[in-house]
Amino acid sequence: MLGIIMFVVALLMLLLGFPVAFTFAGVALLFGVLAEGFELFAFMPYRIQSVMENTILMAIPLFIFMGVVLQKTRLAEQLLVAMAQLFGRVNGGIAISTILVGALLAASTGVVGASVVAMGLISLPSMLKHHYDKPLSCGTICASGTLGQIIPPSIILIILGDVLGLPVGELFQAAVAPGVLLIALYIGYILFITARHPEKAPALPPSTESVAVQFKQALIAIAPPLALMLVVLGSIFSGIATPTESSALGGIGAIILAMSYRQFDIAMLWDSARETVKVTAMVFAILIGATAFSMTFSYSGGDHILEQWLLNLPGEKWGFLILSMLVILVLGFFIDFVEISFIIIPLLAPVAEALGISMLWFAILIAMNLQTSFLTPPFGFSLFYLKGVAPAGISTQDIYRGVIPFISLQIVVLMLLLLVPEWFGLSST
Amino acid sequence: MIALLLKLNNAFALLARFCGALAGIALILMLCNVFYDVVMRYAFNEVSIAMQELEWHLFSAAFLLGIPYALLENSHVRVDILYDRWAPKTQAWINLLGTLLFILPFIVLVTIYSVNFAADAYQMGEGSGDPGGLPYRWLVKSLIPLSFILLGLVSLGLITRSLLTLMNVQVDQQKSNSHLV
Repeated sequence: MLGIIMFVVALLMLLLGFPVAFTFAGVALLFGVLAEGFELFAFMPYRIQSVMENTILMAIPLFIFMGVVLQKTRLAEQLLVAMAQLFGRVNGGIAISTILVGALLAASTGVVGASVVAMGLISLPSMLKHHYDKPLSCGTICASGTLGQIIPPSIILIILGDVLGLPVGELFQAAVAPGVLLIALYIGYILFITARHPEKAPALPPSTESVAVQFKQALIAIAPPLALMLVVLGSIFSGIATPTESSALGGIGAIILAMSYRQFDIAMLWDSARETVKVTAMVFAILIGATAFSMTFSYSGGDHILEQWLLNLPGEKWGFLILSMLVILVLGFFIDFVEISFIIIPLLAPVAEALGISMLWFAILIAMNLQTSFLTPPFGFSLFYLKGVAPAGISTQDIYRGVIPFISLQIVVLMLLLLVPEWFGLSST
Repeated sequence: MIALLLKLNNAFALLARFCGALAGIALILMLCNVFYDVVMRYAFNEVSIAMQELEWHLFSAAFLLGIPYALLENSHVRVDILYDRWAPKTQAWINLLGTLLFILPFIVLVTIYSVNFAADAYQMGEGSGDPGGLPYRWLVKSLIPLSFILLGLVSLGLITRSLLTLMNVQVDQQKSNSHLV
């Protein structure tokens, strides 16, 4: 019972706004000392050591570093300009090119905030200039930037691999099909909208340059990040390198790419390292806080009570799956994927296992579900980022209204994953 | 009083940046280390246990020393539904009390246990369990108490910053930018 009270107290304390990692650690300490005495925390150094020796988690800072370097190389900007020219002639062309660039960025970096900011700065003004519908433009950018969450390599899949005890390479592979379907649905939605309301996303006036020249420019812009993507994902999928090894290849590859774009210098390397350290520290502080929290939670018997309750839900497997998806969806409105993955998922995992649910399937369901947390008003990060860089004419309402169709598409894919996992090469058991 | 607080505040900020610099160096070294190991393994079929162990030593330094740095850079993620709407003074109270009630007790306890943890490794002369691995396991284990002691010191900077805000002294607040992932 104490564990359950601790859980509620921790969630309430989070609302105060003190850093999540330390709120969890502090609440865990209070309840842990009450329940078990100080000695409980003698385990902490051992727990921290197991994080230190965890070679899977080592991929996280390296992939973040790769993303930060590519962001500073202004890769997104180059891609957007080239692709928008190429697709500009068709209705909805800029929106489609934004989605494609979002997908490409997702497959090479997967840093959501950076993608949304870059597209908000480049694509949004260009869409507005050509009289695109405001909500449609905003929704496209937020959804495309968020693709980094599901398309490998992604930080969330690495964390889920660690938490659920799955090989990260397998998770990456399993995420490809749902990710591609999502991209296809986004593009399909743009085509559908422009077919019905061409005035919402009109074609650009014909450019003075020939298609051949534009095609060549697009190819030049797309080739380097595509090559990097092939090295990183190719080395993982072919089994040549582990995700951690390939993250180092990606990091060095990003530096080489930055050099070839003449954007690399020591100051840039140093800035990238410092930014990476900040984000990494944020993730691992939450992991340490969550460790203390889960330790106290399980010693107080909280996980046992929760497990019994979840195992006895009506509808068994389906009752559990629907409830856990709803909980993640709702929590995603308030807290972000790092906390959900480190605190909530470990509680759900043993139940899923006991109910005979395939862990790989469960992981992909969670990853798809967590995408929505980036887009759900009022606290989705992607919305927040776009608002930060959007020109004055864009209201928060435009952004909120714009993401609704894309959230719906994400939920459609989530439903398909739930109901027909075999379409995605997954199995439910 | 204010002058003293300002001085302390600057000192803690400097310490945090120093931690950040060390973590940044560790990160870059780790990148080179992992890359080197991959190349050596695939191109020359050579595996060095020591070099592979060095990977996680550097990784540990990067995140353990990064945590105190991120604290004063305001990079640790908050649930900001209400926090963002509160007056700076309310925020200062939360940071002040949060540090005193949540961070410091946790740090004191974990520091005590992790000092023993590292000291045991030193007394036993613990090294790698694998042949050709790195010796002096106590060194990397000491990173845990070191990180927590540094976090404790840097968190005092959060206290001075909060106190200064409560006394109406302007201090430069780093805007949170940790949502990059």
